[in-house]
Amino acid sequence: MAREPFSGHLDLMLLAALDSGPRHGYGVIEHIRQSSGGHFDYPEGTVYPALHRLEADGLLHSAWSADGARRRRVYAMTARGRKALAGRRTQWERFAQSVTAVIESA
Amino acid sequence: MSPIEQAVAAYAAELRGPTRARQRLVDEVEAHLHDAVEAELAAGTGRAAAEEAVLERFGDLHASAQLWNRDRAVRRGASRRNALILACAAVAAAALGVTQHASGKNPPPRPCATDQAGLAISSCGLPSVPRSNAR
Repeated sequence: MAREPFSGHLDLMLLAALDSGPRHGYGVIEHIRQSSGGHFDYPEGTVYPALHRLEADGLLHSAWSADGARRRRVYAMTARGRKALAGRRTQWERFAQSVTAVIESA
Repeated sequence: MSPIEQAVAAYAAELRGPTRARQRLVDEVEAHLHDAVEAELAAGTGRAAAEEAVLERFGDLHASAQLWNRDRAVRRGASRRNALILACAAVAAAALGVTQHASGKNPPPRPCATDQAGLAISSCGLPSVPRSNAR
């Protein structure tokens, strides 16, 4: 499937993927891919800089977790992240409703 | 050196910033690539094809490193700007305090008058209010 350009919504996707619980980067990417039915098959290399940015903004926190022989950085949402997610969800719903209204009125 | 190891080394060489922060990102990316290869192998893909597919899905390593470098540069710039603004504010506040002190609007605290036992016998410690301002 072609890669979807959705960089404008990447933060929303990442926060939503962590809403159900902590995940490491690979788990976040797999969650988004599976829950979108493979629609969001984007360059995975963009995710790690975004996770670091969200953490620097105080929306996520992370810690190393040893799972077998390999260490993984596990991300979880902060209270500030949950608040940001709620705000972005509302914005997205308004945007989607407006686009749908315009499309259906044509 | 495997294609994954080569990619990780090339990625690490492109990153700019503090060693600890760079190493953390490299370790994360390396773990990600190994996890993805293992998933491909478990699905029956051969190693060479698995590594190729994983690197293709990861995308442009240079672009990813530049994204991280750019974000760090923006943050460093913002941090320096904030420090400069705070320094300017501190200098301005100090200059204002000196000006007020010199003009008598903000005189220094009055010394306490004490009795023989050393106990304070008059209000002290606070600047006296100029007579013209007292109502």
